[in-house]
Amino acid sequence: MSESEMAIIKPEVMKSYIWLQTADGSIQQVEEEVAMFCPMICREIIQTGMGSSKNYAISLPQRVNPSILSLILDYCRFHQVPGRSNKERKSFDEKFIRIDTKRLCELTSAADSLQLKPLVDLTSRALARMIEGKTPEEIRETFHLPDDLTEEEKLEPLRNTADDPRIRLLNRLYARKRKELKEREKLKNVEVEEEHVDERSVDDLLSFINGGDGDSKVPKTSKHKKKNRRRKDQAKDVSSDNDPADLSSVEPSPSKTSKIQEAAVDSLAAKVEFDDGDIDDELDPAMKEELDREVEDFARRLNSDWPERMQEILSSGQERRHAPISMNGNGSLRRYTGLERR
Amino acid sequence: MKTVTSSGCDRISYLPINIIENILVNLPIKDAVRTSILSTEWRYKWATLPKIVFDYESRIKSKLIKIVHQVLLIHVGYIKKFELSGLALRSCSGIDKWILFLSRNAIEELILHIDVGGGGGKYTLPSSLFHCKQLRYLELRGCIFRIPPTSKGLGFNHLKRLRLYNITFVGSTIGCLISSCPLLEILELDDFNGLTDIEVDAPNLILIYLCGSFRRICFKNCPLLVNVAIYKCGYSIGGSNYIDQGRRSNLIKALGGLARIEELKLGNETMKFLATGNIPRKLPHIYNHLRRLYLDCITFCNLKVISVVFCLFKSVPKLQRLEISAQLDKGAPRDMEPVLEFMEEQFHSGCFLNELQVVKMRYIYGMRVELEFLKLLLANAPVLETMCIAPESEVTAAGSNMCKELLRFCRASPKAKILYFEPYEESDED
Repeated sequence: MSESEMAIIKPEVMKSYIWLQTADGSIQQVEEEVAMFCPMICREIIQTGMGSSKNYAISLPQRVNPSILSLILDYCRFHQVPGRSNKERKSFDEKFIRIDTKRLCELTSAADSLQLKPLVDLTSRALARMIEGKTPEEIRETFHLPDDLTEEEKLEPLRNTADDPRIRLLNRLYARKRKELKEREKLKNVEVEEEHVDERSVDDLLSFINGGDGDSKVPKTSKHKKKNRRRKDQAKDVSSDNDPADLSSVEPSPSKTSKIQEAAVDSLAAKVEFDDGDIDDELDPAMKEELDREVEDFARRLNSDWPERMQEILSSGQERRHAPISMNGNGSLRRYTGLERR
Repeated sequence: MKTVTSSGCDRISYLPINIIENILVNLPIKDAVRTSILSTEWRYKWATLPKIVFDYESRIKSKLIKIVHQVLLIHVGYIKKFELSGLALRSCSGIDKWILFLSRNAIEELILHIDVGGGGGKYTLPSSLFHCKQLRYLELRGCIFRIPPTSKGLGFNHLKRLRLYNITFVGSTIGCLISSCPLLEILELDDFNGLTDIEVDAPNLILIYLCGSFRRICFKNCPLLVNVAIYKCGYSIGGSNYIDQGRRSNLIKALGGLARIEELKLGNETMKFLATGNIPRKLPHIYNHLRRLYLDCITFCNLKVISVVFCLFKSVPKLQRLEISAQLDKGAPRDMEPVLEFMEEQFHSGCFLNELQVVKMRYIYGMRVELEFLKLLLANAPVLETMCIAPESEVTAAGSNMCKELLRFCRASPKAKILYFEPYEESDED
C-alpha cells in the first residue's frame, strides 16, 4: 500500500534534485529550483525529461567545467529566491564578479552556453569596466593579450585614438616621416622631369640663338608654336617644381653662371642646324625687347637648377636617347661642372 | 615589434562573437574603437558593433564629423542603433550620407539631435530617411522634416516609437505619416511648427504627446489610446491668433474618438481651443476609463473654459485624480458673476465625481470663483482623500483668508484632508 502511495506522490512535493554532467564526465546533483533558473537546463528537463536520476544526467555544454558550474549554481541559488530586494541582488552581484579575469571570461562563456542572460550581461559589463578608460598596455596586461601589431598597423589613422598623447605624438612623427618620404619621391620625379625639360629647352634656346637675335619667338609656324608652348610649359614646370625642392643647395650667383651659360651656348652654336622657316621676319623693336627679356628670364631659370641637373646627368649616365646635341651639351657641360666645382 | 607576453593565456579574445559584442556595447565608443590596437585578434572586433552611440558622455569635442565618417566606413554588418546627441555639430555636411548608409544597414534605432549652432538655417532631412525600413525607434531633434506628398513608400512598417523635438514640418499633413506606421505605439511631437491639421489614425497607438501649434485635431482610429497630452500653442496666420470657429464644438471634434483613454492632459491654449464653438452640456461619449485628468492654464474667469471643465466632469464618472493649474487671463475682465452663476447651477444638478480621490490645485489666487470651485468639489466628492492647494507665489495675505474659507466648506467625504502648501513648498510626491 505504502509503495503505491509513494508512486502516486508527485515529485514536486518532495525536495527533488536534478543531476548534471559536465564535459569531463563528473556528475553532480543540485536542487531543482536552482537548476530550473537556467533556461537551457529548464528546457532540457521539460522537453526530454532527463536529469531525474544519476544515469540520466543532463549533459552540459563543453564550456562548463565543474568549478565554473558551482559558481553558476551559487548565482542561481541566490537569485531564484523571489523575495530578495533589488539592493540585495545588486550587492551580491558586485561581490560575485570579483574574481580573476581568467575565471571571469570562463564564467561569461559558460553562462552564455547555458543561456543565462542576466549572468552574461553582468559578466560582460564587468569585463567592459576592466577595459574602459585603460591604456592599451594596461588592457594587454590584464588579459594577457599578445602585442603583435606592427607599429604601422597601430598608427593607421584611427583618429579616435588621438586622445592618448603618446599615440598622437607617434602619429605626428609618422606623418612627418611619410611626408618627407613623399617629398623625396616627388623630387626624384621632378629631377627626372627636369632632365627632359632642360634638354629640350637647351635645344630651343640654341635654335633661336642660331636663328638671329631673338626673333624666332614669333609663332609663325605651328611647329615653332608648339615648341614655344612646350618651352613655356616646361619653364613653368621647372619653376614650379623648383620651389619645394631644396633650394638651399642651389645658390648660384647669377653672373657667374650666366657667363658659363653663354660660353656653353657659344660652343654649341656651330653644331646646331635647325629648320626655322620664320627667322627672316622683321620684328618690331618692342617685340624684340620682349623677346630679349624672355630669353634672359629663361636663362635665369635654367641657371637656378643647373648644378643639380649636372649632378643628375653625371650620376645617371645612361639616358642618352635625346638628340645628339644633348650628348655634346653634356660633354661640354661636364667640363664646366668641373669649373664650377673648383 | 613583437613582445612575448608573460605567463597566462589569453582567455578573452576567443570568446564567442556575441559575448565580445556584448562587452564592447557596454563601452563608450572611444574605448570600443581603441580595442583595435590591442592585438591582431582585436583589430576589427569592434567593427561589428551593433550600437554606435555618440553622445555627450563620449566627450568628442573636435572633428566629430570626421570621426563619425571613419567609424561608419570601417564598420561592417548591420547597425542596430545609431545615436548622435548632445554634441554640438558645427555643420551638417555628411549627415545625408550617414543616413543613406544607415538605411542600407538595417538600422532599428536612430537618434539624431541636429542642433546646429549659430546662424544658418535648419537642416533638412534627406528622403533616404524613409528608406530605413527597419526602424523601430526614431528620435529627431532640430531639423526640417519634409513629408513627401505621396504616401507611397512613406511609412515605417515597424516603427513603434516616434519622438520629434523642435521640428519644422514641410509638406503634407502628418496624418499620412502616422497612418503609414501601423505599429506606432508612442508618438511625441514637442515644439513643432508647420502643421495645420493633425489627424491621428493609428490602430496601435497607446500614448500621444503634442505640444505645438495646429489648427485642427482629430482622432480617427485609436482604439488602444490610453494617454493623451495636448498642449496647444496659438496658431498664428500672419501674426494674429486664429482659432477655428466651427459650429460644432472643437471639444467634441477633438476628444470624440478617445473612448478608452485613461489619462488626459490639456494645457496651454488647448482649453481655449476646446472652448470655441458651442459647448455642450455633456459630451456624447462617456469616458469610463478616464482616471486622471490634468488641466493646465485654466482661466477661472472665463465662462467658456469653465463650461468645458464641467462638461468634462460630467463625462468622466470614474475620475480618480484631478490636477488643475490656474492662470490669470490678463486681458479679460474679472467679471466673475456669470461663472459663479454657472457653478451654482452645476452644484444643484447632481453628483458627479463619485470616485475622485485626489485633487491638486496650483497657482490659484484665492479669488471667489476659485474658492467656489473648491467648495463645489468638496461637496460633491464623496470619497475624496486629499486636496492639495498650492497658491500662486504672490498670494501671501490672501493665503490665510483662503485657508479660513476652506476650513468652512462642508465636505462630503469624511476622510478628506486639506493640505495647504506655501508657494514653492509643494513636493511632487503621490
